[in-house]
Amino acid sequence: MNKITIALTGNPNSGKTTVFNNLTGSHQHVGNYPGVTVESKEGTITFRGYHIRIIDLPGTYSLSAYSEDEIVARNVILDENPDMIVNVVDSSNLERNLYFVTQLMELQKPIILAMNMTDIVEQQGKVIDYSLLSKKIGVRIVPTIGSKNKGTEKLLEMVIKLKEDQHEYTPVAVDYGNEIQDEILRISEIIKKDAILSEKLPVRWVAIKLLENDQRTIENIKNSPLADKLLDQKEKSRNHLKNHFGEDPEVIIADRRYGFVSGLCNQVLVQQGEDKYSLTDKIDRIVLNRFWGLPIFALAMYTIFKFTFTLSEPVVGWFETLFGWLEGITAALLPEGLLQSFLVDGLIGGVGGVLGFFPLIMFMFFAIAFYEDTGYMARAVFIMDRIMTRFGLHGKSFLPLMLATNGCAVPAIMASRTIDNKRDRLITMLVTPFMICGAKLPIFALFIGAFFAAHNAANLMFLLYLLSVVIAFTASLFLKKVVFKGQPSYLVMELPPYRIPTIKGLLLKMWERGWLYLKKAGTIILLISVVMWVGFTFPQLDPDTATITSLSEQEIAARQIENSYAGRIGHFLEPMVRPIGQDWRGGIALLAGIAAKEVVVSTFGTIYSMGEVDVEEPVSLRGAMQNDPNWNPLKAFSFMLFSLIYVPCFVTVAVFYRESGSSLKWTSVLLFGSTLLAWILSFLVYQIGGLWI
Amino acid sequence: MTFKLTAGKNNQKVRLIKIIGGYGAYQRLLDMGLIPGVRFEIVLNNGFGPITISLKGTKIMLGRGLADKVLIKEENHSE
Repeated sequence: MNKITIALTGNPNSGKTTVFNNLTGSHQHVGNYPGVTVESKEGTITFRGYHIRIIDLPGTYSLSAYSEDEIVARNVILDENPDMIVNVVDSSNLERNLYFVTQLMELQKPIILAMNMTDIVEQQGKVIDYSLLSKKIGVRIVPTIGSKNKGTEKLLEMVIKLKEDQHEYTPVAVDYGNEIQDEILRISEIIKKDAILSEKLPVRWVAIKLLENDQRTIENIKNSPLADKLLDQKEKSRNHLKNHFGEDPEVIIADRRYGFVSGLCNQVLVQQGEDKYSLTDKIDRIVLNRFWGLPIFALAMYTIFKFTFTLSEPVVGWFETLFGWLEGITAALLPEGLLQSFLVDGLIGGVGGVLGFFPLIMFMFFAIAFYEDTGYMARAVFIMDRIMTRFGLHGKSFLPLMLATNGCAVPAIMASRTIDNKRDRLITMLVTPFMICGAKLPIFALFIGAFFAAHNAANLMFLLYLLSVVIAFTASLFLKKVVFKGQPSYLVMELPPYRIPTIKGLLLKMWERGWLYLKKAGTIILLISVVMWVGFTFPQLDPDTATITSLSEQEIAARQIENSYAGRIGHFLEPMVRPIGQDWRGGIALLAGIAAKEVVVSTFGTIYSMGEVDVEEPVSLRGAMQNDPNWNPLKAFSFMLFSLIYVPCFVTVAVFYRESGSSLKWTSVLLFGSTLLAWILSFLVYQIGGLWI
Repeated sequence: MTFKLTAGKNNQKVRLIKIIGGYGAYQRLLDMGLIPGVRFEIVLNNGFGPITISLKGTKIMLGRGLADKVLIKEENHSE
């Protein structure tokens, strides 16, 4: 079958994701946590005998190397060598969207513009001459309305038509004027002499990027044998243009692009019409108000939590019942022994503990997607910027912190890609794991339930949330003031018009994020559960010693665990955790928690349920821990505090490592810094608290 | 008379005179259309937090630190 590869591009808020969903239907593969579409997604469809692969790129305003998103977008276009670019345009905002198109045009790929939101254009009373626009810039055009799934089939037909077209159909070049054009040619001449470089990258594009002093392009050409000559010419050209225009060349180039676009708009907008953002303006006047802004923001966040916890509660209950039923059935069907223990305690117990709060995460993702798609999240950044910058963070840091709270630090760290400044991003990534993610929640639920009075439970939980924020903010302030002294940070972001989200769009977003979480639960945690079970079960006690010595069955079970591999490791760790009030059991649970925080609970489950003799009447884990005289509320609190702060789960660490640009230095800071901080704080709390008790 | 964007008032129509460059967000500002000579409207300046402007059909917010680097001039209505 014939194959076509498409790169799907567009400005943020152009409706690109909706068009992607329309094109691919359910045939999408999310390669990674999409955060706010930070990683490229892929979808495939079969249409008229063609196998069409669509790579969804992050929404960007430009193809400079300013943010990670832009770098991902341009690298995919240059490296994956798609047959064509399909660019989604918000037709109601032509000027800004066509600016991006002028940059795509320089990549020398055939382009189709999906002129989206044509219904809004109509409402505004504007008329666009599509065929003129198509002729003027040498691209093909299909009008679409993403929210109503209109124009999708026409778009696919155009893709095939463009593919089948024999003669080359390439976009025109923007005219930058003679002065700049001469310098572009001078640099191009040198690039052309390097056959490998000019084969790999569009020559004119590289020349323009060099004139703009694009750091990524400068790195790209460094391996060329002509690198010195090129950089030399680049400096000469830049100086020449600076002298001629009295401005940096990048200013002039951006100016010329906008000039080209505004000339184009004048020609193709047959009827000008009026921008209708009156409703958005009215809402913003209230939502961004100096007095009302913060209370409304607090209310919005409260609704997310309320929605998540209220609606997910019954579903979490169903999941628990389901896994309880599975355990019961398995225990009843299989004879007592290793196999039964493996399935019930190892597999179902371990995975069930994790899946138990999967519904909670799904509801959470849905609520966040709702605020993202309505456009409120950008307003939340506006509101939070003032507070965040005070603590050394960035207005946009708020979304990662939000995603990590009750959600997961993995998509949160990925979502921090929207923070353009590297240092702001690094600080955000370092403090994000301090938030109480969905996996830490069951640890606190277990300990608070077991060792604290019910009427204090909510207060204590609130205290932990408060602590997580205080620790994250203090850490970021420390990083900003001490480690990255004197480097200011900047926020620049679009406030998109408010839109009514589509249910399909919200569900897809929820599912994409949830699915990746589930994959993690299904693979890594399953594996860890099995390893943990083996660690606790072997080596088995010699049955003879068990019968000869007159010990009760309970004592035998307890000995079995202590004698197991896990028990031995726990004992080895004990000297390190004793000063914070833990024994070998806490040590092994915390160690297991590095694999995934949920595993802390399931490890205690394994420790206590295996110590249980009567399988027919299992006492709940909470009860079993209550009955253990080794625990007291102070020890429990110290354990919770340590769990809150210490090294994040290894999936988070792995993602952090990759997202920090494979920085061993910062990954070590994350690993050891957080663990050391956790130990010191728990030590102080346990030792000082011990003076009163 | 030129002044900083942070000193701008709500609903004021202004023209961009200069952006003090030499930092990461410079290219982004250019890409968003904040180029010397461009006209835009200040939508909201609360006196704290980011400043919202309306430029080329979109609303953009600029953090205060960045707005401090943007020099503007009031646009005469008769012009």
